[in-house]
Amino acid sequence: MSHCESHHEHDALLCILPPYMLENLAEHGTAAEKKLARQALADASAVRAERSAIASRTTRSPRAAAAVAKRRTIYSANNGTQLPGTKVRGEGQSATGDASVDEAYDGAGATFDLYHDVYSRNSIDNQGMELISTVHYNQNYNNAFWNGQQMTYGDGDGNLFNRFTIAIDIIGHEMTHGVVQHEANLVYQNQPGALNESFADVFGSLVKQRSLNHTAAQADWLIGAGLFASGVNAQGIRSMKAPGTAYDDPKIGKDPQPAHMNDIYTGSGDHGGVHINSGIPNRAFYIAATQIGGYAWEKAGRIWYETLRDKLAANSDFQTAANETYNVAGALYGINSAEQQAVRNGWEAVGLSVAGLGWQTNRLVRYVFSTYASKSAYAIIEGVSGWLKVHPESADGVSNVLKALEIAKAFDRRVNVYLQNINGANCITRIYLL
Amino acid sequence: MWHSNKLVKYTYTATVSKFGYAIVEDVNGWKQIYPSTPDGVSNLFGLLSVAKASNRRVNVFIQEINSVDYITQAYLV
Ligand SMILES: [Zn+2]
Repeated sequence: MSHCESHHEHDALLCILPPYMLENLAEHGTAAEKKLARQALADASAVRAERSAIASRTTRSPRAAAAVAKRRTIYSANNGTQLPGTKVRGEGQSATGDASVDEAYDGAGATFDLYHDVYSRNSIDNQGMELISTVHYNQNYNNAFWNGQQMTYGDGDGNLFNRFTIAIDIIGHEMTHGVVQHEANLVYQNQPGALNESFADVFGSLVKQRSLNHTAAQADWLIGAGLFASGVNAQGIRSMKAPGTAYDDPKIGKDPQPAHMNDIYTGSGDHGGVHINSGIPNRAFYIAATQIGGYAWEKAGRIWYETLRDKLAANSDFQTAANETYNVAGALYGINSAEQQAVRNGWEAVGLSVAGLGWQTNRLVRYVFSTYASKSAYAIIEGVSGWLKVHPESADGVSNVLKALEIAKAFDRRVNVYLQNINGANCITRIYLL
Repeated sequence: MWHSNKLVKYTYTATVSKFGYAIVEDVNGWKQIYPSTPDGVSNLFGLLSVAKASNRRVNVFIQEINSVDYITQAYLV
Protein backbone atom coordinates (compact mmCIF):
# COMPACT_ATOMS: atom_id res chain seq x y z
CA MET A 1 0.00 0.00 0.00
CA SER A 2 1.33 3.40 -0.90
CA HIS A 3 1.58 6.66 0.96
CA CYS A 4 -1.35 7.95 -0.98
CA GLU A 5 -3.50 4.87 -1.08
CA SER A 6 -4.54 4.10 2.45
CA HIS A 7 -8.05 2.68 2.43
CA HIS A 8 -9.01 4.82 5.38
CA GLU A 9 -9.89 8.31 4.31
CA HIS A 10 -8.87 9.73 7.68
CA ASP A 11 -5.36 8.29 7.39
CA ALA A 12 -4.87 9.58 3.90
CA LEU A 13 -1.93 11.66 2.87
CA LEU A 14 -3.26 14.18 0.44
CA CYS A 15 -0.87 13.78 -2.48
CA ILE A 16 -0.61 15.86 -5.62
CA LEU A 17 0.05 12.84 -7.84
CA PRO A 18 -2.58 10.13 -7.98
CA PRO A 19 -1.55 6.55 -7.28
CA TYR A 20 -2.54 5.34 -10.76
CA MET A 21 0.13 7.48 -12.39
CA LEU A 22 2.84 5.88 -10.27
CA GLU A 23 1.38 2.44 -10.86
CA ASN A 24 1.63 3.02 -14.59
CA LEU A 25 5.22 4.02 -14.14
CA ALA A 26 5.97 0.93 -12.07
CA GLU A 27 4.64 -1.12 -14.95
CA HIS A 28 5.90 0.71 -18.02
CA GLY A 29 8.99 2.66 -17.03
CA THR A 30 12.64 1.79 -17.47
CA ALA A 31 14.20 -0.40 -14.82
CA ALA A 32 15.32 2.65 -12.85
CA GLU A 33 11.94 4.34 -13.18
CA LYS A 34 10.13 1.20 -12.12
CA LYS A 35 12.32 0.97 -9.06
CA LEU A 36 11.60 4.57 -8.07
CA ALA A 37 7.90 4.23 -8.68
CA ARG A 38 7.75 1.04 -6.61
CA GLN A 39 9.70 2.78 -3.90
CA ALA A 40 7.24 5.69 -3.94
CA LEU A 41 4.41 3.20 -3.90
CA ALA A 42 5.99 1.14 -1.15
CA ASP A 43 4.46 1.36 2.25
CA ALA A 44 5.93 4.14 4.33
CA SER A 45 3.83 3.39 7.31
CA ALA A 46 5.67 5.86 9.47
CA VAL A 47 4.30 8.75 7.46
CA ARG A 48 0.82 7.35 7.34
CA ALA A 49 0.90 6.59 11.04
CA GLU A 50 1.79 10.19 11.67
CA ARG A 51 -1.13 11.30 9.55
CA SER A 52 -3.39 8.97 11.56
CA ALA A 53 -2.12 10.46 14.76
CA ILE A 54 -3.15 13.94 13.68
CA ALA A 55 -6.64 14.27 14.97
CA SER A 56 -9.20 14.74 12.25
CA ARG A 57 -10.48 18.24 12.71
CA THR A 58 -14.16 18.70 12.21
CA THR A 59 -14.73 22.20 13.49
CA ARG A 60 -14.66 25.21 11.28
CA SER A 61 -12.03 27.79 11.95
CA PRO A 62 -13.11 30.31 14.58
CA ARG A 63 -13.99 33.76 13.34
CA ALA A 64 -12.35 35.58 16.24
CA ALA A 65 -9.56 37.78 15.04
CA ALA A 66 -6.04 36.57 15.65
CA ALA A 67 -2.96 38.63 14.94
CA VAL A 68 -2.16 38.46 11.24
CA ALA A 69 1.26 36.96 10.83
CA LYS A 70 2.90 35.27 7.90
CA ARG A 71 5.16 32.71 9.53
CA ARG A 72 6.91 30.47 7.06
CA THR A 73 9.41 27.87 8.11
CA ILE A 74 11.14 25.67 5.57
CA TYR A 75 12.84 22.45 6.61
CA SER A 76 14.94 19.98 4.68
CA ALA A 77 14.49 16.26 5.16
CA ASN A 78 17.99 15.96 3.64
CA ASN A 79 16.65 13.17 1.42
CA GLY A 80 15.46 11.21 4.42
CA THR A 81 11.90 10.68 5.59
CA GLN A 82 11.93 12.28 9.03
CA LEU A 83 9.49 15.20 9.26
CA PRO A 84 9.85 18.06 9.50
CA GLY A 85 13.67 17.70 9.26
CA THR A 86 16.22 20.43 9.84
CA LYS A 87 15.25 24.09 9.61
CA VAL A 88 16.82 25.85 6.65
CA ARG A 89 14.89 29.12 6.29
CA GLY A 90 12.62 31.08 8.61
CA GLU A 91 10.30 34.01 8.02
CA GLY A 92 12.11 37.09 6.83
CA GLN A 93 15.39 35.31 6.22
CA SER A 94 17.04 35.82 2.88
CA ALA A 95 17.07 33.37 0.02
CA THR A 96 19.26 30.33 0.45
CA GLY A 97 20.11 29.67 -3.19
CA ASP A 98 18.56 26.21 -2.87
CA ALA A 99 15.74 26.39 -5.44
CA SER A 100 13.47 23.96 -3.56
CA VAL A 101 13.81 25.89 -0.30
CA ASP A 102 13.25 29.26 -1.91
CA GLU A 103 10.35 28.12 -4.08
CA ALA A 104 8.65 26.53 -1.07
CA TYR A 105 9.14 29.79 0.85
CA ASP A 106 7.89 32.03 -1.95
CA GLY A 107 5.01 29.72 -2.85
CA ALA A 108 3.84 29.55 0.74
CA GLY A 109 4.02 33.34 0.82
CA ALA A 110 2.01 33.74 -2.39
CA THR A 111 -0.62 31.33 -1.07
CA PHE A 112 -0.82 33.11 2.29
CA ASP A 113 -1.18 36.40 0.43
CA LEU A 114 -4.01 35.19 -1.82
CA TYR A 115 -5.99 33.98 1.18
CA HIS A 116 -5.15 37.01 3.27
CA ASP A 117 -5.25 39.88 0.81
CA VAL A 118 -8.23 38.71 -1.22
CA TYR A 119 -10.32 36.65 1.21
CA SER A 120 -9.17 38.16 4.55
CA ARG A 121 -8.11 34.74 5.78
CA ASN A 122 -5.34 34.58 8.34
CA SER A 123 -3.32 31.54 7.22
CA ILE A 124 -4.46 27.93 6.84
CA ASP A 125 -6.48 27.86 10.06
CA ASN A 126 -7.53 31.54 9.99
CA GLN A 127 -5.64 31.86 13.25
CA GLY A 128 -2.21 32.69 11.90
CA MET A 129 -0.98 29.10 11.75
CA GLU A 130 2.73 28.66 11.05
CA LEU A 131 3.31 27.43 7.50
CA ILE A 132 5.65 24.48 7.68
CA SER A 133 7.14 22.99 4.55
CA THR A 134 9.68 20.22 4.14
CA VAL A 135 11.69 19.92 0.94
CA HIS A 136 14.15 17.24 -0.22
CA TYR A 137 11.87 14.58 1.16
CA ASN A 138 13.18 11.08 0.52
CA GLN A 139 15.36 10.22 -2.49
CA ASN A 140 14.16 11.05 -5.98
CA TYR A 141 10.68 11.16 -4.48
CA ASN A 142 7.96 11.74 -7.07
CA ASN A 143 5.23 13.43 -5.07
CA ALA A 144 4.15 16.24 -2.75
CA PHE A 145 1.62 15.97 0.04
CA TRP A 146 -0.23 17.61 2.91
CA ASN A 147 -0.21 15.35 5.96
CA GLY A 148 -2.64 17.28 8.12
CA GLN A 149 0.04 19.53 9.59
CA GLN A 150 2.52 20.51 6.91
CA MET A 151 3.46 20.48 3.25
CA THR A 152 6.11 18.06 1.99
CA TYR A 153 7.84 18.05 -1.39
CA GLY A 154 9.98 15.45 -3.13
CA ASP A 155 12.88 16.31 -5.44
CA GLY A 156 11.48 14.23 -8.29
CA ASP A 157 13.63 11.71 -10.08
CA GLY A 158 14.99 14.31 -12.52
CA ASN A 159 14.17 11.94 -15.33
CA LEU A 160 10.39 12.14 -15.56
CA PHE A 161 9.68 14.62 -12.80
CA ASN A 162 11.39 17.83 -11.78
CA ARG A 163 11.34 19.01 -8.16
CA PHE A 164 7.78 19.37 -6.87
CA THR A 165 8.22 22.97 -5.73
CA ILE A 166 8.78 24.04 -9.33
CA ALA A 167 5.06 24.62 -9.88
CA ILE A 168 3.63 27.25 -7.54
CA ASP A 169 0.12 25.87 -8.04
CA ILE A 170 1.25 22.61 -6.41
CA ILE A 171 2.24 24.61 -3.33
CA GLY A 172 -1.12 26.40 -3.36
CA HIS A 173 -2.82 23.04 -3.84
CA GLU A 174 -1.17 21.44 -0.82
CA MET A 175 -1.81 24.42 1.45
CA THR A 176 -5.42 24.53 0.35
CA HIS A 177 -5.85 20.97 1.63
CA GLY A 178 -5.06 22.54 4.99
CA VAL A 179 -7.70 25.24 4.47
CA VAL A 180 -10.27 22.59 3.48
CA GLN A 181 -9.39 20.61 6.61
CA HIS A 182 -10.13 23.67 8.77
CA GLU A 183 -13.39 24.54 6.97
CA ALA A 184 -15.71 22.02 5.26
CA ASN A 185 -13.27 19.20 6.15
CA LEU A 186 -14.44 17.25 3.10
CA VAL A 187 -13.94 13.51 3.55
CA TYR A 188 -11.17 12.26 1.26
CA GLN A 189 -13.34 9.72 -0.52
CA ASN A 190 -15.70 9.68 -3.52
CA GLN A 191 -17.40 12.99 -4.46
CA PRO A 192 -16.53 14.85 -1.22
CA GLY A 193 -12.91 13.78 -1.77
CA ALA A 194 -13.01 14.90 -5.39
CA LEU A 195 -14.35 18.26 -4.19
CA ASN A 196 -11.46 18.41 -1.72
CA GLU A 197 -9.06 17.82 -4.61
CA SER A 198 -10.90 20.32 -6.79
CA PHE A 199 -10.81 23.12 -4.23
CA ALA A 200 -7.07 22.44 -3.88
CA ASP A 201 -6.66 22.73 -7.66
CA VAL A 202 -8.86 25.83 -7.87
CA PHE A 203 -6.93 27.81 -5.27
CA GLY A 204 -3.62 26.34 -6.41
CA SER A 205 -4.37 27.66 -9.87
CA LEU A 206 -5.49 31.02 -8.46
CA VAL A 207 -2.20 31.36 -6.56
CA LYS A 208 -0.41 30.85 -9.84
CA GLN A 209 -2.69 33.17 -11.82
CA ARG A 210 -2.30 35.92 -9.23
CA SER A 211 1.47 35.54 -9.08
CA LEU A 212 1.58 35.87 -12.88
CA ASN A 213 -1.08 38.63 -12.95
CA HIS A 214 -3.06 36.54 -15.43
CA THR A 215 -6.74 37.09 -16.16
CA ALA A 216 -8.99 34.06 -16.51
CA ALA A 217 -8.59 34.35 -20.28
CA GLN A 218 -4.79 34.47 -20.06
CA ALA A 219 -4.36 31.61 -17.60
CA ASP A 220 -3.29 28.15 -18.80
CA TRP A 221 -5.60 26.40 -16.27
CA LEU A 222 -3.04 23.62 -15.92
CA ILE A 223 -2.00 22.09 -12.62
CA GLY A 224 1.67 21.23 -12.36
CA ALA A 225 2.92 22.77 -15.60
CA GLY A 226 6.70 22.48 -15.57
CA LEU A 227 6.67 19.50 -13.24
CA PHE A 228 7.40 16.98 -15.96
CA ALA A 229 10.89 16.72 -17.33
CA SER A 230 11.36 17.15 -21.06
CA GLY A 231 10.61 14.07 -23.09
CA VAL A 232 7.41 13.28 -21.21
CA ASN A 233 4.30 13.94 -23.26
CA ALA A 234 2.55 16.00 -20.63
CA GLN A 235 1.53 19.64 -20.21
CA GLY A 236 0.93 19.11 -16.51
CA ILE A 237 -0.84 16.69 -14.21
CA ARG A 238 -4.34 18.06 -14.71
CA SER A 239 -6.12 20.48 -17.02
CA MET A 240 -9.01 22.38 -15.47
CA LYS A 241 -9.95 23.69 -18.90
CA ALA A 242 -9.94 20.32 -20.66
CA PRO A 243 -9.88 17.51 -18.10
CA GLY A 244 -8.50 14.30 -19.58
CA THR A 245 -6.00 16.03 -21.87
CA ALA A 246 -3.12 16.91 -19.55
CA TYR A 247 -0.90 13.96 -20.45
CA ASP A 248 -0.73 10.92 -22.66
CA ASP A 249 2.57 9.13 -22.38
CA PRO A 250 3.63 5.48 -22.59
CA LYS A 251 5.30 5.66 -19.19
CA ILE A 252 2.77 7.56 -17.11
CA GLY A 253 -0.37 6.60 -19.00
CA LYS A 254 -3.21 8.83 -20.15
CA ASP A 255 -4.95 11.50 -18.11
CA PRO A 256 -8.17 9.76 -16.95
CA GLN A 257 -10.11 12.83 -15.80
CA PRO A 258 -13.73 13.17 -16.94
CA ALA A 259 -15.05 16.57 -18.00
CA HIS A 260 -18.73 15.67 -17.56
CA MET A 261 -20.99 13.80 -15.15
CA ASN A 262 -21.74 11.29 -17.93
CA ASP A 263 -18.18 10.01 -17.61
CA ILE A 264 -17.84 10.06 -13.83
CA TYR A 265 -15.55 7.35 -12.44
CA THR A 266 -17.35 5.02 -10.06
CA GLY A 267 -14.57 2.58 -9.17
CA SER A 268 -12.82 2.30 -5.83
CA GLY A 269 -9.28 3.20 -6.88
CA ASP A 270 -7.75 6.53 -5.87
CA HIS A 271 -10.14 6.80 -2.90
CA GLY A 272 -13.08 6.58 -5.23
CA GLY A 273 -11.48 8.73 -7.91
CA VAL A 274 -10.64 11.84 -5.92
CA HIS A 275 -7.95 12.88 -8.45
CA ILE A 276 -10.09 11.67 -11.36
CA ASN A 277 -13.54 13.13 -10.77
CA SER A 278 -12.10 16.45 -9.58
CA GLY A 279 -12.02 17.20 -13.31
CA ILE A 280 -15.78 17.77 -13.21
CA PRO A 281 -15.91 20.58 -10.61
CA ASN A 282 -12.58 21.90 -11.93
CA ARG A 283 -14.12 22.48 -15.33
CA ALA A 284 -17.24 24.03 -13.80
CA PHE A 285 -14.99 26.54 -12.06
CA TYR A 286 -12.99 27.21 -15.21
CA ILE A 287 -16.16 27.95 -17.19
CA ALA A 288 -17.66 30.14 -14.48
CA ALA A 289 -14.42 32.10 -14.07
CA THR A 290 -13.84 32.65 -17.77
CA GLN A 291 -17.46 33.71 -18.34
CA ILE A 292 -17.28 36.17 -15.47
CA GLY A 293 -14.00 37.44 -16.90
CA GLY A 294 -11.22 39.48 -15.36
CA TYR A 295 -9.08 38.03 -12.58
CA ALA A 296 -10.52 34.68 -11.55
CA TRP A 297 -9.58 35.08 -7.89
CA GLU A 298 -11.72 38.21 -7.52
CA LYS A 299 -15.24 36.92 -8.17
CA ALA A 300 -15.25 33.22 -9.07
CA GLY A 301 -12.61 32.59 -6.41
CA ARG A 302 -14.61 34.51 -3.81
CA ILE A 303 -17.75 32.52 -4.62
CA TRP A 304 -15.87 29.24 -4.27
CA TYR A 305 -14.05 30.41 -1.13
CA GLU A 306 -17.19 31.53 0.69
CA THR A 307 -18.93 28.31 -0.30
CA LEU A 308 -16.07 26.26 1.13
CA ARG A 309 -15.94 28.40 4.26
CA ASP A 310 -19.65 28.63 5.06
CA LYS A 311 -21.77 26.21 3.06
CA LEU A 312 -20.18 22.81 2.63
CA ALA A 313 -19.82 19.97 5.11
CA ALA A 314 -17.74 16.80 5.31
CA ASN A 315 -20.01 14.75 3.06
CA SER A 316 -21.06 17.40 0.54
CA ASP A 317 -21.31 16.15 -3.02
CA PHE A 318 -21.07 17.83 -6.44
CA GLN A 319 -24.77 18.72 -6.54
CA THR A 320 -24.49 20.44 -3.16
CA ALA A 321 -21.43 22.35 -4.32
CA ALA A 322 -23.32 23.38 -7.47
CA ASN A 323 -26.35 24.60 -5.54
CA GLU A 324 -24.32 26.38 -2.89
CA THR A 325 -21.91 28.14 -5.23
CA TYR A 326 -24.97 29.29 -7.17
CA ASN A 327 -26.65 30.60 -4.04
CA VAL A 328 -23.47 32.28 -2.82
CA ALA A 329 -23.06 33.93 -6.21
CA GLY A 330 -26.62 35.23 -5.91
CA ALA A 331 -26.00 36.56 -2.43
CA LEU A 332 -22.71 38.23 -3.39
CA TYR A 333 -23.56 39.60 -6.83
CA GLY A 334 -27.36 39.45 -7.07
CA ILE A 335 -29.92 36.86 -8.05
CA ASN A 336 -29.79 36.47 -11.84
CA SER A 337 -26.60 38.52 -12.01
CA ALA A 338 -24.12 37.74 -14.76
CA GLU A 339 -21.88 36.19 -12.12
CA GLN A 340 -24.62 33.87 -10.90
CA GLN A 341 -25.55 32.89 -14.44
CA ALA A 342 -21.89 32.09 -15.15
CA VAL A 343 -21.82 29.76 -12.15
CA ARG A 344 -24.93 28.01 -13.41
CA ASN A 345 -23.46 27.74 -16.89
CA GLY A 346 -20.31 26.19 -15.44
CA TRP A 347 -22.19 23.46 -13.63
CA GLU A 348 -24.59 22.85 -16.51
CA ALA A 349 -21.66 22.37 -18.89
CA VAL A 350 -20.50 19.43 -16.76
CA GLY A 351 -23.99 17.97 -16.46
CA LEU A 352 -25.26 19.40 -13.17
CA SER A 353 -28.27 21.69 -13.04
CA VAL A 354 -28.41 23.96 -10.05
CA ALA A 355 -31.57 23.74 -8.01
CA GLY A 356 -33.41 25.78 -5.49
CA LEU A 357 -33.00 29.49 -5.04
CA GLY A 358 -35.00 29.39 -1.88
CA TRP A 359 -36.39 32.13 0.31
CA GLN A 360 -35.52 35.77 -0.24
CA THR A 361 -36.63 37.43 2.95
CA ASN A 362 -37.76 40.89 3.99
CA ARG A 363 -37.72 42.39 0.50
CA LEU A 364 -39.50 45.35 -1.00
CA VAL A 365 -41.47 44.84 -4.20
CA ARG A 366 -40.10 47.26 -6.81
CA TYR A 367 -42.48 46.74 -9.73
CA VAL A 368 -45.42 44.54 -10.62
CA PHE A 369 -46.54 43.76 -14.15
CA SER A 370 -49.40 41.76 -15.61
CA THR A 371 -51.16 41.39 -18.95
CA TYR A 372 -54.59 40.36 -20.22
CA ALA A 373 -53.30 36.84 -20.79
CA SER A 374 -54.14 34.16 -18.29
CA LYS A 375 -51.54 33.45 -15.55
CA SER A 376 -49.30 36.24 -16.79
CA ALA A 377 -47.77 38.15 -13.88
CA TYR A 378 -44.27 39.41 -13.13
CA ALA A 379 -42.42 41.35 -10.44
CA ILE A 380 -39.08 42.86 -9.59
CA ILE A 381 -37.96 42.16 -6.05
CA GLU A 382 -35.34 44.09 -4.13
CA GLY A 383 -31.94 42.35 -4.35
CA VAL A 384 -32.96 40.17 -7.28
CA SER A 385 -31.84 41.12 -10.78
CA GLY A 386 -34.45 41.26 -13.50
CA TRP A 387 -38.10 40.34 -13.81
CA LEU A 388 -39.34 37.28 -12.01
CA LYS A 389 -42.31 35.39 -13.38
CA VAL A 390 -45.05 34.33 -11.04
CA HIS A 391 -45.05 30.58 -11.62
CA PRO A 392 -48.09 29.94 -13.89
CA GLU A 393 -49.23 26.96 -11.88
CA SER A 394 -52.93 27.81 -11.53
CA ALA A 395 -55.01 30.82 -12.55
CA ASP A 396 -56.26 31.68 -9.08
CA GLY A 397 -52.86 30.92 -7.49
CA VAL A 398 -51.16 33.40 -9.82
CA SER A 399 -53.87 35.97 -8.99
CA ASN A 400 -53.30 35.47 -5.27
CA VAL A 401 -49.54 35.88 -5.50
CA LEU A 402 -50.00 38.88 -7.77
CA LYS A 403 -52.41 40.41 -5.26
CA ALA A 404 -49.89 40.01 -2.46
CA LEU A 405 -47.22 41.62 -4.66
CA GLU A 406 -49.49 44.53 -5.65
CA ILE A 407 -50.49 45.21 -2.09
CA ALA A 408 -46.92 45.04 -0.85
CA LYS A 409 -45.86 47.45 -3.60
CA ALA A 410 -48.71 49.90 -3.05
CA PHE A 411 -48.36 49.96 0.74
CA ASP A 412 -44.53 49.74 0.87
CA ARG A 413 -44.79 46.50 2.80
CA ARG A 414 -42.10 43.85 2.77
CA VAL A 415 -42.42 40.25 1.64
CA ASN A 416 -40.69 36.91 1.86
CA VAL A 417 -40.73 35.29 -1.57
CA TYR A 418 -39.72 31.76 -2.48
CA LEU A 419 -37.83 31.54 -5.78
CA GLN A 420 -37.52 28.37 -7.77
CA ASN A 421 -35.79 27.68 -11.04
CA ILE A 422 -38.50 26.17 -13.21
CA ASN A 423 -37.61 25.22 -16.78
CA GLY A 424 -34.66 27.59 -16.75
CA ALA A 425 -36.57 30.64 -15.45
CA ASN A 426 -36.50 31.96 -11.92
CA CYS A 427 -40.09 31.99 -10.69
CA ILE A 428 -41.92 33.18 -7.60
CA THR A 429 -43.92 30.31 -6.15
CA ARG A 430 -44.80 31.43 -2.61
CA ILE A 431 -45.10 34.71 -0.80
CA TYR A 432 -45.58 36.00 2.72
CA LEU A 433 -46.84 39.52 3.31
CA LEU A 434 -44.94 40.81 6.33
CA MET B 1 -67.25 31.84 15.55
CA TRP B 2 -66.67 35.50 14.80
CA HIS B 3 -63.46 37.24 15.90
CA SER B 4 -64.21 40.96 15.66
CA ASN B 5 -62.10 44.03 15.21
CA LYS B 6 -58.81 42.17 14.78
CA LEU B 7 -55.58 43.03 12.98
CA VAL B 8 -54.19 40.66 10.34
CA LYS B 9 -50.62 39.79 11.31
CA TYR B 10 -49.45 37.95 8.18
CA THR B 11 -50.81 36.50 4.97
CA TYR B 12 -49.32 33.71 2.89
CA THR B 13 -50.10 32.35 -0.56
CA ALA B 14 -48.57 30.35 -3.38
CA THR B 15 -49.12 29.68 -7.04
CA VAL B 16 -51.01 26.45 -6.38
CA SER B 17 -54.81 26.70 -6.61
CA LYS B 18 -57.05 27.67 -3.66
CA PHE B 19 -54.10 28.30 -1.37
CA GLY B 20 -54.30 31.15 1.14
CA TYR B 21 -53.43 31.52 4.84
CA ALA B 22 -53.43 34.26 7.46
CA ILE B 23 -52.52 34.87 11.06
CA VAL B 24 -55.18 36.97 12.78
CA GLU B 25 -54.74 38.76 16.07
CA ASP B 26 -55.92 36.63 19.05
CA VAL B 27 -56.47 33.59 16.83
CA ASN B 28 -53.92 30.90 17.43
CA GLY B 29 -51.56 30.05 14.54
CA TRP B 30 -51.90 30.03 10.76
CA LYS B 31 -55.47 29.58 9.55
CA GLN B 32 -56.20 28.44 6.03
CA ILE B 33 -58.83 30.13 3.93
CA TYR B 34 -61.32 27.34 3.30
CA PRO B 35 -60.33 26.00 -0.16
CA SER B 36 -63.80 25.62 -1.60
CA THR B 37 -63.65 27.71 -4.78
CA PRO B 38 -60.73 29.45 -6.52
CA ASP B 39 -62.34 32.89 -6.74
CA GLY B 40 -63.69 32.68 -3.19
CA VAL B 41 -60.21 31.98 -1.81
CA SER B 42 -58.81 34.82 -3.92
CA ASN B 43 -61.43 37.25 -2.66
CA LEU B 44 -60.79 36.43 0.98
CA PHE B 45 -57.03 36.42 0.50
CA GLY B 46 -57.22 39.86 -1.14
CA LEU B 47 -59.38 41.27 1.63
CA LEU B 48 -57.10 39.98 4.38
CA SER B 49 -53.96 41.17 2.58
CA VAL B 50 -55.33 44.69 2.08
CA ALA B 51 -56.26 44.78 5.77
CA LYS B 52 -52.76 43.62 6.67
CA ALA B 53 -50.96 46.14 4.49
CA SER B 54 -53.12 49.11 5.50
CA ASN B 55 -53.36 48.20 9.20
CA ARG B 56 -57.17 48.02 8.92
CA ARG B 57 -59.13 45.73 11.17
CA VAL B 58 -61.29 42.78 10.19
CA ASN B 59 -64.03 40.63 11.56
CA VAL B 60 -63.25 37.03 10.60
CA PHE B 61 -65.37 33.94 10.96
CA ILE B 62 -63.40 30.85 11.99
CA GLN B 63 -65.29 27.68 11.25
CA GLU B 64 -64.38 24.12 12.14
CA ILE B 65 -64.73 21.82 9.12
CA ASN B 66 -63.71 18.17 9.48
CA SER B 67 -61.91 19.05 12.74
CA VAL B 68 -59.83 21.83 11.15
CA ASP B 69 -60.36 25.54 11.77
CA TYR B 70 -60.72 27.53 8.56
CA ILE B 71 -61.34 31.15 7.69
CA THR B 72 -64.67 31.17 5.83
CA GLN B 73 -65.91 34.80 5.96
CA ALA B 74 -64.48 38.24 6.61
CA TYR B 75 -65.50 41.89 6.88
CA LEU B 76 -63.09 44.71 6.24
CA VAL B 77 -64.05 47.20 8.97
ZN1 LIG C 1 -4.37 17.02 -3.43
